[in-house]
Amino acid sequence: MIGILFAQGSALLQATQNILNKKFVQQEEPFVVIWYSILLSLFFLIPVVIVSGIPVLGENFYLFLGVRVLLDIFAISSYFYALKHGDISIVIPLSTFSVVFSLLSSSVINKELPSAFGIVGILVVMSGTYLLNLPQKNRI
Amino acid sequence: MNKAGINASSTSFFTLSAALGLLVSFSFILFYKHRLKVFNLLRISKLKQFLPLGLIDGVKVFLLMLAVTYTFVAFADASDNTTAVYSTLLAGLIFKEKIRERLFPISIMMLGVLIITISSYFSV
Repeated sequence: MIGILFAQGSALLQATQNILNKKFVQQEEPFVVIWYSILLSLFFLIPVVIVSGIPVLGENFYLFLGVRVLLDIFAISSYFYALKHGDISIVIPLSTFSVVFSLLSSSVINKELPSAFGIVGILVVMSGTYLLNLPQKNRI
Repeated sequence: MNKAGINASSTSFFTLSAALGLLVSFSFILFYKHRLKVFNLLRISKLKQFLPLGLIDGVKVFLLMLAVTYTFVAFADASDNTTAVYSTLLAGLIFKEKIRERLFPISIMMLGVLIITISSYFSV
């Protein structure tokens, strides 16, 4: 029970962060907000790495890092530009679609087919997305 | 990609390396867009303005780590995804967005996310 409370606290803070991001991108260029967000995250990440220590790096570490950074540049820029130009109540729920992409991409990359339960979940998310983007007058 | 990178190092080191890589990349993007004017945009004095973002981010990650310690990762993940609902409610309160007609579809999406999250931990 206490674990769920902590997760809910984290979700509430993420929601607050989304609201602050929206406020900041209305005042500043999205790239400036992104730059400061990343810079501030270093204040937490550097002490954690100092405490936990620098690990021995695997052979493909720099390849994985390069791909992650490239993908994140597009993902983070898209998120902030979507926030700047769209409603939070549309942009953030649509970002939950990433769970569907994860399930589908892992089935392609890792050759792990989603279970029947997973496919039902994908269909339910897609139904919600369809309803969210349907004009109000056409809704059931 | 995240999982592979973490396996080749550690969670904190891969996250820090990615953050440093992104900071350098976005510095280049900003310099390409604004040339020397970039120094007016990026001032240390502005850090104070953006400080709440950093603080919230730190506490958020800490709470999520605590959540994972006390409950199943699947439940923590699913619970964390409810941020879409909170964001929508806050957007309605603060930005006066028209959220009433969006709550039902968002609830359906949340149900789908819950099903996917649980299915990835308990295969049928």
